Amino acid sequence: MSLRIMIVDDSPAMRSFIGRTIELSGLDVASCVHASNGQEALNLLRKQAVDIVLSDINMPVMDGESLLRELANDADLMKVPVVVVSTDSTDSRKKRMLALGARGYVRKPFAPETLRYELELALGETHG
Amino acid sequence: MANVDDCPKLEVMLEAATSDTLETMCFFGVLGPLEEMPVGGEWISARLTFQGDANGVFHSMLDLPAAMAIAANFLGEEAEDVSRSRMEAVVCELANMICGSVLSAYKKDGNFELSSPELTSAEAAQPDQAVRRVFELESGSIALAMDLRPTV
Repeated sequence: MSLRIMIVDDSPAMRSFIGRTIELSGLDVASCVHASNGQEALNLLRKQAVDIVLSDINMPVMDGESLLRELANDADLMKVPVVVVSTDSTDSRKKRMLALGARGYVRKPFAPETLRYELELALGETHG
Repeated sequence: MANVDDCPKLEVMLEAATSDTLETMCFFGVLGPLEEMPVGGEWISARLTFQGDANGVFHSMLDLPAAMAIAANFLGEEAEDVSRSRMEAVVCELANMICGSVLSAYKKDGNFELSSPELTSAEAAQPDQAVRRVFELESGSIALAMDLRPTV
């Protein structure tokens, strides 16, 4: 299956790194859409479907927590799996994000194989 | 309020977070600690603050050769193709990741809010109480200063 991926991060450098890492991991990527915050991600998701979203937490305009809440309350988007990619690897933050509906949690820094594993796990729950 | 002297492991956590971040995300090796920050040359410096179970400020400074090489590796491009602004963005992102790693190691079940990293001057004032570490890298050096004050 060719994946349509969305990467949400306020750092263009990090978006570029994550996109390149996914491609190098061997996953079949059909398209990769970038958004710089949660609101931009929501606007894009309402126009075009993706198979999975990778989102940072700390972002201006709309952060990752608010994005998860918005997705959970949107009947059309609530099933889109989200994997959080964040520098915050505290247990409390991870539990909070998973409770809000995140399907996976990857801490920065991460190894490429970790990112691929979490993506496959999250996609497996949806498509498996 | 506890003093940073109460957390002597901060130096160790800074070294571990720096090595982990540079090696995992930038494919860049840390050769070892240096006694002092090398004098001269241009340095690219980023700063961020954090609040929560500990409050404080984090500075990271990379000399130009290190910043160029690390940015190139992070972005997957040749060093000469990386613009100044993109190099600076990578330096900021690096500060974010190292600081986040240290805080997570400091208190695994803690709560922290990090500000967005901003470029600053290498000469910018740093708290006297900051723990400082300097490391020699494959190419160039990185200097770190962190003032961490537990609140709980």
